[in-house]
Amino acid sequence: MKNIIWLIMVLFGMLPSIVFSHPHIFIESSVSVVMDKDGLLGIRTNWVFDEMFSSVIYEEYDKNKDKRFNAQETKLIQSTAFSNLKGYNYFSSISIDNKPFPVTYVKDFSVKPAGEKVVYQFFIPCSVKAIKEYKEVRLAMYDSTYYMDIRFSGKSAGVENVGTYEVQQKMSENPKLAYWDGLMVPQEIVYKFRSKK
Amino acid sequence: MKKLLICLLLFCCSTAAYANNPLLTPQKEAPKHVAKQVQYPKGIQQFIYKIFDIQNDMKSQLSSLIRDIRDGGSKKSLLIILVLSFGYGMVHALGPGHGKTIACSYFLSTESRYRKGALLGNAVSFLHTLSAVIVVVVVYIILKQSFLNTFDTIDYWVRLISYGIIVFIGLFLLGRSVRHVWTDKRSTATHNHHAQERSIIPVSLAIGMVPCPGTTIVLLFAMSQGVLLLGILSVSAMALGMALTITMVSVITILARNMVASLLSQYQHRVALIHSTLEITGAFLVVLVGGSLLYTLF
Repeated sequence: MKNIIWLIMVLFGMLPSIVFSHPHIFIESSVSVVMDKDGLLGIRTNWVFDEMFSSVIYEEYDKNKDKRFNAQETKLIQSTAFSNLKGYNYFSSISIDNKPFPVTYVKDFSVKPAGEKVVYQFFIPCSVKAIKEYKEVRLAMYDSTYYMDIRFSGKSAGVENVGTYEVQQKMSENPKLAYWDGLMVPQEIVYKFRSKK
Repeated sequence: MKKLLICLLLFCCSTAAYANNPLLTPQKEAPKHVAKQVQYPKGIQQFIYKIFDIQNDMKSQLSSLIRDIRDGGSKKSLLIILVLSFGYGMVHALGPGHGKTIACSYFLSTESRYRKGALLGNAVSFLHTLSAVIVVVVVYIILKQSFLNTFDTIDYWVRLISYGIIVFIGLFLLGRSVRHVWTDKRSTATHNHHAQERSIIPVSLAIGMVPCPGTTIVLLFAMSQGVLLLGILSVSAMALGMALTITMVSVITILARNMVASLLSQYQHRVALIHSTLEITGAFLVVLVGGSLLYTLF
C-alpha cells in the first residue's frame, strides 16, 4: 500500500509543467591560482556567459554600442548586475585545509567582450602562506538556486607565478556540496601546494 | 526500487527557494548549504546533466541561426529555428521547477480526468510564454525602460499575486476536502466534471502567470538583433514543445493512475478513507507550498 502511494505521488509529480524550469543562464568558468612570494594570493576568475544572456548585457549596458565596455559602463554593470552576488558569496565555495573560507569580497572586476559573448573577470583574494607541508585549497563554483548553470571549462586550472612552489591540482565532483535537493553535484578543484625551499 | 521512487519524487518536487536572477537580486545573507539527504542514482544525475548540456547546445545554435536570419539567411534557417525552438521547449520542460510541487499537490487533492492534466500543462505552458511576451513588449517597447531591473520588479509583483492565488486555492481545496469528510458525501458524491475542469483555470493562471525567464531571454536576444517577430515565432514554437512534453507526461501519468486505481479497488472498504486522506494532504501541501513561496519574497 505504501509503495502504491509513493507511486501515485511520483507520477503526479511528473505530470505538471515547466513552470520555473531552470537553468536560464549558462556560464563557463575558467580560473587560475595566483601565487606570490608568500604563497597563494588568490584566484583569478573568468565567467563567459552564453550568447543569449550576453546579448542582453550588451543591449542594456553597452550604451555607445561599440561592443566594448568602458569604465562607466563597467561600473554600471558592477553595481547593478554583479555586486548582488556578494550575498551569494560570488557563487564560490572555498575551503582552506577543510575550513570554510566565505568569499565576502572580490576585486579587479572588469567586463570584456569575447566575440558575441560577454566575460566577467574578477579576482578572489585568498591569501594562504606556503610552508614545507602541503596546504589544501578547494574551490567549487555553483549557483545554489540553479538559475545559472556554472561549469568549469577544461579539466584543470592555470597557475600564475608558480616560482619555487610545488603545486598539484585535480578536478572532481564533490557530493558533499550537492545542491538543488541533492540533484546537482558541483565540480571542485582541489589545489595542493607547498614551498620547495 | 523504493529508493529510486523517493529520488524521483524529490526531483519532481524540487523546491529551491529563489527563482529570481541572482545577478540582479540583492540577498541579505548567503544561502546556507543544506546537506542533501538523498543520494541520487548516477543514471538519473547523468540524465539530468545531459538535458542541461543539450539545452545549452540548442541555445547556442539558436543564437547563431537567429543571427543568420538577421543577416539575410535563407528560409531554410527559419524552418530550422522553428524546429530547434520546438525541441528546446521540449527539453526545457523536463527541467526541475516549483510548478511540479504545486501541480503534484493539486492533483493529489482533486479527482482528475485525463483531459484535466493535459489542459493544465498546455494552459500553463502558453500562459507562461504569453506573459513573458507581454512583459518584454510593455517594458522595452512601450515603457522604453532598462529591461533587466524593471523585469525583476515586475517579476516580483507577479510572483506575489501568483503565490497569493496558490495559497487561496489551497485554502479553498482544504475547506472543500474537510467539508467532504464532515458531511461524508464522498461515497455518494456525483462529481460534476464540467465544474472540475473549470476549476483548473485559476490553477493554470496562478502557475502560468509568472513570465518564463528562459522565454524572456530568447525574446530579448531576438530584439537585440532587430528581429523581434522572429523571436515571437521562436518562443511560440518553444511553447508548443513545452506543451507537448507535458501532454506526453500527462498521458503516461493518467494511464498509470488508472492502473493504480484498479489496484486500489481490492481495498474497497478503505477507498473513502484513502481518498479523504489524499485530498486533505494535497490541499494542505498546496497551502504549504504557496505559503513557503510567498515567504521567499519577503
